[in-house]
Amino acid sequence: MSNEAVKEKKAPKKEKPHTYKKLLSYIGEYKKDVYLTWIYVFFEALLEILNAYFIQYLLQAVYALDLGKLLLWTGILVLISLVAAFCGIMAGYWASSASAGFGKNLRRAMFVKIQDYSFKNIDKFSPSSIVTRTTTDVTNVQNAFMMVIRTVIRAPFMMIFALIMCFVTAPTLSWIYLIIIPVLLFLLIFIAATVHPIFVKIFNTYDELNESVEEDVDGIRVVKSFDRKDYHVSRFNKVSDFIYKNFLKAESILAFNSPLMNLAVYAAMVLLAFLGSSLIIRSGSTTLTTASLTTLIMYVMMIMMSLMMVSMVYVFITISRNSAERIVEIVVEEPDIKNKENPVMEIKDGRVDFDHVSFAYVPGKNVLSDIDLHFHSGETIGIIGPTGSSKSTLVSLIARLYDVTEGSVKVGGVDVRDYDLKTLRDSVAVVLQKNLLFTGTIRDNLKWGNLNASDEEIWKACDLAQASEFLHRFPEGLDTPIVEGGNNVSGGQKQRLCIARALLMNPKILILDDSTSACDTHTDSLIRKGLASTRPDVTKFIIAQRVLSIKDCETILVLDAGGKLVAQGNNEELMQNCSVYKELYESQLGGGDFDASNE
Amino acid sequence: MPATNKARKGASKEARRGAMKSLLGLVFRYYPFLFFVVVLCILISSFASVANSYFIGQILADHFITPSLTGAMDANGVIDISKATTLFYDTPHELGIFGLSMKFSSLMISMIVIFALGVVASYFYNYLMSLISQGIQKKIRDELFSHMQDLPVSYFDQQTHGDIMSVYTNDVDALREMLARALPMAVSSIITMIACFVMMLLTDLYMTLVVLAVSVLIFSITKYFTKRSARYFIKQQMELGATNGYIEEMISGQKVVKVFNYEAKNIEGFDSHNEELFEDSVKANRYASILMPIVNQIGNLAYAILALVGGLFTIYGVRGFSLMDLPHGHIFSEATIGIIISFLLYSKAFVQPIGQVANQINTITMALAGASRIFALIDEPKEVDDGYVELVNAKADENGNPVPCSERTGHWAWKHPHQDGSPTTYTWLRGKINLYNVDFGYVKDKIVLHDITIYAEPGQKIAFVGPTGAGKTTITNLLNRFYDIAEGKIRYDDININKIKKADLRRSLGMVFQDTKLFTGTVRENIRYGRLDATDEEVEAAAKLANADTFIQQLPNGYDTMLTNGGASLSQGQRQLLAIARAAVADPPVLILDEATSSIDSRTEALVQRGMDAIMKGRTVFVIAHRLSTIKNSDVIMVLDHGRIIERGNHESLLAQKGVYYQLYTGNAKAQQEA
Repeated sequence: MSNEAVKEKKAPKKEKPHTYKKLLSYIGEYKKDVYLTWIYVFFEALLEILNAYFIQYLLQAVYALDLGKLLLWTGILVLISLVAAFCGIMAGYWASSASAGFGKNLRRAMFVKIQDYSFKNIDKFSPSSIVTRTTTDVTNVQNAFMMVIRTVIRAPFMMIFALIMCFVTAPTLSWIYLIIIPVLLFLLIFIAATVHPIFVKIFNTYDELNESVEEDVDGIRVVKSFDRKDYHVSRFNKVSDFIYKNFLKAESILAFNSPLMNLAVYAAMVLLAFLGSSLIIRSGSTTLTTASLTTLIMYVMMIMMSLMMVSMVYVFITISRNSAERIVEIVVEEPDIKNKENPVMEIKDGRVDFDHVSFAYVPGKNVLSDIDLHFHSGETIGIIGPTGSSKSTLVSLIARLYDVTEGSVKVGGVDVRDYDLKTLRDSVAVVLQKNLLFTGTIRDNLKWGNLNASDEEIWKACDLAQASEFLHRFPEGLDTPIVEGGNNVSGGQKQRLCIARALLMNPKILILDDSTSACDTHTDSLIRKGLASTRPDVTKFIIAQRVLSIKDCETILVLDAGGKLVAQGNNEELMQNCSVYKELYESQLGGGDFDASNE
Repeated sequence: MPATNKARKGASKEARRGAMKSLLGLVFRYYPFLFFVVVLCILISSFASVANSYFIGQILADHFITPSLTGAMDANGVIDISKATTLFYDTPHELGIFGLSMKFSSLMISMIVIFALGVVASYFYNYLMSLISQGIQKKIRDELFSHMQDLPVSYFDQQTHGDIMSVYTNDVDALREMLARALPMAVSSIITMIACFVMMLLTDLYMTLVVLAVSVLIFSITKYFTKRSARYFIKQQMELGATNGYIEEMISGQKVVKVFNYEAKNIEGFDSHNEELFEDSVKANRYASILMPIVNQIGNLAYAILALVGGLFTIYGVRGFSLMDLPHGHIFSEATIGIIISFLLYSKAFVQPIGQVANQINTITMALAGASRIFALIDEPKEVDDGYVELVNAKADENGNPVPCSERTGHWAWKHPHQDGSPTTYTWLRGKINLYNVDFGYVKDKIVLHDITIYAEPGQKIAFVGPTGAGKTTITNLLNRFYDIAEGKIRYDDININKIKKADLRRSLGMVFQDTKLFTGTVRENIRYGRLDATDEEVEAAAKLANADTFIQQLPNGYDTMLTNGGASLSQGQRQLLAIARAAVADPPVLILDEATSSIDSRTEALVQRGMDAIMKGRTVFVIAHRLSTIKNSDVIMVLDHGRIIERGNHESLLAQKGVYYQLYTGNAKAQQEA
C-alpha cells in the first residue's frame, strides 16, 4: 500500500494539562490500595515525629539518672518504632500493589484501545514505538507513581507534624523553621523548574539518538558497502555531544540541590545552637533543656529530609512525564472508523459499488479520484498497475479499512459505513499484501478465519489454497508450530496458508492483494481455478504484478501512477485498446518466476 | 528507571565485578585529577557534617551549657542566671580536643566557617561528579557506536537487532542512572560512614559496639531482602520480556487482527501476560519497598538502645572507653549527655546510608549487568582487515598506464604497495572477478556453497537465478567480504581480494540490496549517501535514471521531503527505486543488484534497467533475481540450486541445453497457455 504510513508525529513539547488527570483515571480498582498506602504512611510519619519528641524525655531521664523513667521511655520508644515499622511495611505493601496495578491497567488500556484503531490510526504509530510505550514507558510511570504515592503525603505530614511539635517544644524558636522551610522549598522548586525543560529536551534527543542507532544496526550492510562509517559516527557524535552538553548544563544547576540542603541544615543548626543555648542558660534550663534542644535538632533533620523527598518527587515526575505523555497519546487517539448507531447487521450479497470515490491519505493529496465502478456478486476482478498506483488502497476501501474522502463504497447495495464493522469484515476477507502468521501451530493460525472451524473445514480450505500438498509433507501436519513472523515456512507456503485462513471465513467478498506473488505460476493458476469453481458466488478481487494472474478475470482494471484508472475490460478488449496493458503483457511473456520449487 | 525490553540473562557476578573494574578504570584513566578533587571535597563535606554532630553534643552541651549551669549553681541547686550567662558567653571553655579553649562567639564563628566550607565542597563534588559521570557516559556511548561500525556483518546476523538496540536504550540508561545518581551517593555515603565511625570510636567504644551490632543486623536484613527482591525482580524482567514479545508480534500484525475481527481473542492473550507481569511486579516491589521502613525503624530503635546503654552506664557508674580522652591521661570517662546526643546524631548518619545504598542496590546491580553487556560489545573483536591494496581515482598517462589523481575521473586503479621495498605499482581497475572452486558455510561444517567457479569478464552482465535459498545472495556476501570463504580463491583483477583493503573493496562494488535501507534525512540526502560530494544536479540525474524522479516530484517537499522510520511512508517499490538512485549516484566500477527490482513492476523495471545499462556500460554488473524477465538479457546466466551452479550460459544457450532453465522457462509458457 503506497503512502500508507503517515509519519509518526513527535510528541508535542507543551504539557497538556489533562495528561496526568487522564493517566490517573486508570488507577481504577487500585484506588483502595492507594488510600491504604496513605493511611499507613500517615501513621508512620506521625509515629516518627512522636519518636523524635519522646527522645527528649529519655535524655532527661539519663540526665536525671532516673532508672525507672529511663526504662519506661526506652520501652515507649521501642514500641513506637515497632508500630512505625509495621505501618511502614504495610505502606510499602499496598504501594506495591497500587503501582503495579496502575501499570497493569495502563498497559491494558493501551492495548485494548489499539484494538479499536483503524488502519489510519495504526499507520500513525510504528510498532516499535507502541511496544516501548506499553512496556518501558509504563514501567517508568509505574515507578514514579510508587515513589509519589509514598512521599507525596508523607513529606507534608512530616513537615506539619514537625512544625507543630516545634511550637510545642520551643515556641520562641519556631520562626527559624518558618523562614527556612519556605525559602528552601522555593529554591528547590526553582531549581527543578529550571532543569525541567532541559531534561525534556534531552529525552527527546535520546529518542533521536536511539533512532539513529537503530537505523545503523538495521542498515549495517549498506553502511559497510558504501564505507560510510565516518558519516554515521559524526552524525551520532553530534547528537551524543548535544546530550552531553545539555546534561552538564542541567547537572550544574541540579548540583545546587544538596549544598542548599546542607546550607539550610547548617543555618538552622547555628541558629538553634546560638538562640537555643541562650534560652537554656537564661532560663536556667527550665524553658528549654539540652534534651529538648536535641529534639529540635532532630526535627530539623526530618524536615530537611522531607523537603529533599519533595524535590526528588519533582525530578521523578519530570523524568516520567515524557513517558506519561506518550502513554496518553495512545489512549486519547480517537479511532476514526467507528460503528454508527443502529448499524446494518446483515450483508445481502457480494455486490460492490464504488460511487464517485475519492480518497486521500493526506488531505488535499488524492491518491484515488472519482472512481465509479460497479461489480456484481460473484464477479472476478483483476487489478494491475505499477507501484504506487493505489491498487491496494482501492480494495481496502471495501472492507472499510479506510473511509473514503468523497463518494461512497457500497457492499450488497448498502454503504459500508452503515454496516456493523464486525459484520462487514466477517464477509469481506482480505489477504493483505504483507502476510503475517503468528506464533502458534498452523491450526491456530488458520482458526483466525473461523474459531470454530473443524479439521474437515480446515483441510477443505487448505485444498482450495493449494496448501494441503505441503502440509501433508510436514510430519506434524496442522500441528506444525509457526515461529514468530512465520519464517519457518517459505514465502509461497506462507501465502497459501494466508489464503486458506481467509477462505475459512466463508466470505462474500474475497480480496487477494498480491497474495500469490511467491507462488509459482502453476500453483497460482490452480488456486484461481479452484476458487472459480467452488466459490462461484464470492466476488473476488485479485491484485497482481503478473499479467498471467489476472488475464482471465471477467473485468480487469488497469491503474496507473496516482491512482488513475487507465482502462477497464477483459483481456481481449484491453489487448486491443490499452497500450499500457499490452506493453505489460508483452514484457512479461516468457518471464517466469523462480520461486516455484523448494517448497 | 530502566526496563529491559527483551528478557535477557542477567550478567554473572564475575561479569558485574569486571564491569565495575572497567568503569572505575575509565574514571581513573580520564579523570584522575578530578576524581581526586571529588574525594577531597567529599571528605571536607563529610567533615563538616560530622563536626556538626560533634559540635552540638560534645562541645556545646558538655563543655559550654552543662559547666556554665553547674558552675552557677549554689549549694541548694538554685541557678544564678546572671552568673551562668557570664560563664557561658565570656569565659573561654575548653573544647575537649587538644586542650583547645575558646569563647562561645569564636566557637560560633569557627562553626560557621567549617559549615561554609562544607557547603562549598558539597557543590563542587556534586558538580564535578556529574562532569565525570557525563563524560564517562559520553565516552562509552561514542566508543560503543564507533566500535560497532567495525564489527563484522556476521555479528549483526547472529544477534537480534532488538538485543543490540537494548544495549543502547536499556543498558546505557541503567548505566546513566548509576553513574549520575547511585555512584556519587555511594561514594559520599561510604566516606561519611567512615568519618562517623572514626568519631564514634574516638568518643565511646561501648556505644560504638552497640551501633556496630545494629549495623550488622541492618546489613543482614538488607541482604535477606535484596536477595529475594532480586529474585522476583529477575522474574519480573523475564515476564516483561514475554509481554513485550507478545505485544510486538500482535501490534506488528495489527492489520491482520483487524481484517479477521480477532480483537477480543487478542485481548484475551494479552491479559494473561499482563496479569502474570502484575503478580511478579507486586512481589518484586514489595520486598524492595518493605526494606526501607524496616531499616529506618531499626535506626530509631538504635537511638533508644543507645540512650538506655548510656544512661545505665552513667547510673551504675560504668566508665566509658574513650580514645578522645587519651590526651587527658586517661581513657575511661563517664558517658555524658553530650556524648549521648552526639551519638544519636552519629548513629543516624551512620545507619542512614546503609538504607540508601540498599535502596540503590537494584539500580546498581542492573547498571552493572548493563555495563557488562556494554563492555562485552566493546570487547567484541573487530572485523580483521589485512588488506593493503587501495582503490584510487586514476587517469591515463601517454602510454595508457594509470596515474593516481585526486579528482574523480570515472576510472580507477589499484594502488599496490610491495613489501619488498620496490616502488608502488598501479593497475587499472577493470572489473574482472574470478571465483575458483569456492566453498563456504555460515556455520562450520554446514557448507552452503559448493565448488563455485565464476569468470566474470570486464563489462559483462552476470546473472544468478535460482530458488530462494540457493545461495545467490551468499555469493555477493563473499565478493564484498561480509563473510570470508572457507576454500578456494576469489580474485579481483587478478588480485586476491584478501589483499584489498575492505573499505576500498566495498567502495568498488556498488551494492543494491533487496531489503532497502533508507536513513532519516531528506530524499536528497538519502540519494547523496552514495557519493557525499555529489551535486544537486547529479543527485537528480541519478534519480531520473532510476525512474524515481516522477514520484519524488509528487512528494510534499520533493527532494527535500524528510524520510523517517526507514522511509516507511514510501512503498517498497519506491524505496527500491531510491536505493537504485543511490547506487547510480555512487557510479561504482562494479555493480551488484541483489533482487533490487523485486517490488518494482516489470514495466518500470525495464525502464530502470535501460537507465542502469547506460551508466554501467563497459563495467561489470552482477544481477540476482528470481524473475526470469529481469535477467534474460544478461551475458552469462548462472542457475543455482542448493549451493551449486547447475547450469551456465546465456539465455539462448541455456534454452538450447534444455535443462532446468529451459524447463522453467517453457513450463511457465505452458502454464500460461493452460491458464
